[in-house]
Amino acid sequence: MKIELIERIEGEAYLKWRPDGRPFIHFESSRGIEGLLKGRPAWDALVIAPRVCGICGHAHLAAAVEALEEAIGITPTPKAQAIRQITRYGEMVQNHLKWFYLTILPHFERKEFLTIHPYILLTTSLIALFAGQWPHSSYMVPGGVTCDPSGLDLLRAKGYLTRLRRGFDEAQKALEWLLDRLVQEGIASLGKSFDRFIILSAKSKLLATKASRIDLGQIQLYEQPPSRALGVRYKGRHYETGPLARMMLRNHPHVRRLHRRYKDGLATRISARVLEIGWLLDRMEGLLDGMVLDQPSAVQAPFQFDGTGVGIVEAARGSLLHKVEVKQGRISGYQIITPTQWNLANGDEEEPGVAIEALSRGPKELSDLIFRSFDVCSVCTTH
Amino acid sequence: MKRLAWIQGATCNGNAHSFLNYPLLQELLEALELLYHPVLPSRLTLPQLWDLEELDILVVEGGLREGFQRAGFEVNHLIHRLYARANWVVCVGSCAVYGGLFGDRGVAFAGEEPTELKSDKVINIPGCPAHPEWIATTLWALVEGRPPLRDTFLRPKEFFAYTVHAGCTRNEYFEWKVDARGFGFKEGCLFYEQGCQGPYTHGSCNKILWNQESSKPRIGTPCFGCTEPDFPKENLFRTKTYMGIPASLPLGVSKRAYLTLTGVAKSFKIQRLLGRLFED
Amino acid sequence: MSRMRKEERKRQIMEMALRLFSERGYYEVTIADIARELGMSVGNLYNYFSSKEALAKELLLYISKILGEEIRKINMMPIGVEEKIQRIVEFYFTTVQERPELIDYFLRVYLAHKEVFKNGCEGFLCVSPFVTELMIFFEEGVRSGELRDQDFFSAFGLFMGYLGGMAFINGEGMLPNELHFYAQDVAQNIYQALKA
Repeated sequence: MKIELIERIEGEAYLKWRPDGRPFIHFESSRGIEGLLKGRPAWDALVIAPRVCGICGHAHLAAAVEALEEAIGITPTPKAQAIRQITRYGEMVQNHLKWFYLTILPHFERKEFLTIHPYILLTTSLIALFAGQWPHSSYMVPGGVTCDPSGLDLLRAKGYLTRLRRGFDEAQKALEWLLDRLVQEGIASLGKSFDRFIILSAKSKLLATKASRIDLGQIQLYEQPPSRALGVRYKGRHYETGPLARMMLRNHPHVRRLHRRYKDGLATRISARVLEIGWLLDRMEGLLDGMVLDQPSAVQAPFQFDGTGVGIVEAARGSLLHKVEVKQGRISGYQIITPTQWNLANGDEEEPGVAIEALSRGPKELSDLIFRSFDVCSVCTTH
Repeated sequence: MKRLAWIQGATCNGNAHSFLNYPLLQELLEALELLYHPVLPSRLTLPQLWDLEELDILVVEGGLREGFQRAGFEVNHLIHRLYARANWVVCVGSCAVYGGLFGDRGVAFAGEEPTELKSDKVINIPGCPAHPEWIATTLWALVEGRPPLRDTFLRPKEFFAYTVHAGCTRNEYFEWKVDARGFGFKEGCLFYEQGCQGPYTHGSCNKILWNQESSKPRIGTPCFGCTEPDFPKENLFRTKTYMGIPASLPLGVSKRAYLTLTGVAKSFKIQRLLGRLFED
Repeated sequence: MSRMRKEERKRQIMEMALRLFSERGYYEVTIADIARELGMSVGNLYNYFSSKEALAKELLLYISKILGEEIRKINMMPIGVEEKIQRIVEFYFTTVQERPELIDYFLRVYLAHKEVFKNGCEGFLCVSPFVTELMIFFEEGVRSGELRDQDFFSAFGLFMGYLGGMAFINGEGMLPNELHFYAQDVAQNIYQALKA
């Protein structure tokens, strides 16, 4: 059995190749964060849960707060929802830029992370304007957000956004170059999987381009020893989650065009992730323009309550789900299902996982690139 | 050029990403030879680190945890091995410093207790995560051969002699004991109700801002005391009180002194601080 | 005059004012009355206190310090809350009997004539030494698990309202027994009401 260590994917993972050419994705350690949450006062989840991940902790915060809100039975003000969305989108922007410049472009000998670095700084400054800091803010609380931005803060944020568009232009140029290169090398349609997508926040799945509703009750987590990561599937089948899934659901013309030619191959998956930056920047601007500042930032919420709640948000790598159970103000159960648990599930011979399928189709020399095209996050997968 | 390897125990990668927020990253990287970093491109692979003979600076992120594996090694063994071969050991983040959320222990401390690895070559930069400027400036200091002055927890005094309270934009509300009315207001102090630990937490979050922009208390989130050995305590959004009196008081201030001053300050109702800042 | 002598003289003035205010009432006593009783000139007395109001305010602080100092001693004792309450009650009743002017001033001058104190003695300003010690007493009682956690003022009101009430009915001559006869029951009542 050939064993390949993949590094710098927010940790490491092993690809263990079986004789039949099918790999097994192996994670060697887990921190057990769900166990750390148990028994704590419910609101502490807002500080502990983001520590699942240093690059998408903000999405974990959003999922945790939504789960708590459902358990309490409280809805945040539209202003708070808009602010949450802006910072969450900001986190996705910095993630996509890092992924593209640190894991994809270097594969093609373009090592220019430092040229995009100023834009990453700008994105985190924009987040900090509302969230105080990035990484690891806990500024979303049941009922809203802790910040109380002024009109001038919004203008400042818009200034950052305007500058960020230049960063996106840079990334788009690099993407065009990359697509040419993929085509030249004849690898644009490699990395294909089932062409089957799931977007939990929209309660939707897609078979290629055909959308249908899903039932959250049909999500199944399963163990896959000896790996310390769980896998997840829907009604027994594996689905891809993430920017490609979202951009397909959004009918993004550019991504749809690429999909017609390359299906869910490397060219489409990589492009979807980069092009989503533009989509996110547009939405952030719309949210800033539409914000009504004289609404309260938060409705006051109780610390003591009983209930269960689910929070689902789109994180950089796809759909993220937190489920909480609270008894007398304390957490009696907590479950986190991360996007990479969908994409990296191993499955079995009859129903292999999404990345497994893509890797099995080969070629083996490109397995590193194919694997990384899913934007793997080790800490989220194992948490 | 100083040779640096950044290795990880049990962690969320928050410090690796916090470090990427350092504005002068390019200049710093030009002054270092990066042997290994978990996110940035660097010369070696993780398995190659095992055989590394010598290095100038070992950065440790994440807690030491019995049995925790990485790249086929037990992380504790790798940390011990490289610790012995490094001239300086910089622990970034509260997990590496004290054990924090994920470790059984840190490198030189387990909570407040020193471990067998406590020595003069350790520099501790706690925080969850550690601030990019704290990490980067410490690395600069080592590059320049001027190690920073440290306190009893081996933390650079320049960052940790302050409390998070210093420089907070809500200081006037603290001085005159005006509580925040809840979450979501730019007015009011978060120390009395919302659990802010800023007045007794070591750190310079309100002196050296986060992301060149702000800090948690400035935007209405309490300080959670993430640079301290007991992070994370319980009930992080509520102030623990005994008969309405905060259980933890500003650093170095006696209860009698605090209560005397509080009683006096509360006796004056400063109208300017009771209303909303931007109201007509 | 030496500094020591001056401080001593000031104390004498305050003690005299305290007695006269408590006996006759604040508005019935003039600066001239106080000076006469001390055998000093009115002009000289004004060297110590710029007005009758200033004297009244300083008296409040003076009493707070005396009472606060005694409670502080009790706070520092290595004993449980129940015994501390007992000691505070006994100290208070002893003060009522031996130095009634201290308590009378509080009840009959300060509480009855808030208009005199409104500028300069707002809130806790002039009673801080006394209130601070009671805060510490309550805080430590809750911290050690002996007292029930609640807002400070609901506990403070129960404690001081009760003691003040006893002092008041004692002063009105309504009590069939000597004040100390009630000390143990009063202390028990307070403890029972506040305990965890």
